[in-house]
Amino acid sequence: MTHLGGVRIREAAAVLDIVAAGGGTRAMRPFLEMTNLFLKG
Amino acid sequence: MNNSAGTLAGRLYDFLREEAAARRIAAVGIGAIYMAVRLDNGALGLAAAPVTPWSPVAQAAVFPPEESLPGRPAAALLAWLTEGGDPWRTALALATANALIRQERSDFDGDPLDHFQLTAADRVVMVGRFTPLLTRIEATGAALTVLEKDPAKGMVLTPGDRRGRLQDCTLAIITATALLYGDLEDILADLGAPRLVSLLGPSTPMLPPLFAPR
Repeated sequence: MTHLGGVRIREAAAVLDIVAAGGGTRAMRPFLEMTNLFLKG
Repeated sequence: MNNSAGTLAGRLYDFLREEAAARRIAAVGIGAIYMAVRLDNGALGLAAAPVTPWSPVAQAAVFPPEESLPGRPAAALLAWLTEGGDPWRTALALATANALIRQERSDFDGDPLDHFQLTAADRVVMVGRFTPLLTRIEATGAALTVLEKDPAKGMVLTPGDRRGRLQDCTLAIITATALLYGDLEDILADLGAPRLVSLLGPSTPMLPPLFAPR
């Protein structure tokens, strides 16, 4: 593995509500950030 | 007892079990697309909701009622990583793991494709369809193969054909949901010598030591 791309949650309550309501990444986007790490092979 | 010692799931459990011992589950959200776990310290983790072959009745028979989960020790849910068998339990365990991982480091924020430097010479294999990325990858001229379990979303190949595609690619983009289905190790083992291997999506455990060469 040389790259990890995940998320950092900025507003947990909002994301939890969206998940429980069946929402996906697009709905959650205002409340999270996409973060990236490069790994040494 | 960790019955999956040595696997990625087992190693993830081992990395986090000490931290998990100090935490309890505050809330759980189970949706059609994602599952979420919030801990008593406010941290929240996500995992994709897995597709299971079971009927809702059969699934409910093996899965604890959602309302019974808050208040449980985080270690109890994390331990489901090591059990296998029920993808829902594995997904909640992965969401618990992601809530426990407090990754402050980020090499960059935003769209990873901005840093992959794709060219028309690249052969990209995407394991699990990331719809938002398709158009941008195709615009680079790179050859793109989408491997899927669902034939409506991509190519469903035999293990041998899949190995051939993975052996030949220059860049692999793998959905973190492969962790839920227990086939991430097989996918990684089938790769040839790509210049970049990316594990991508909100389910990704952002824990570099988990993926360090052993």
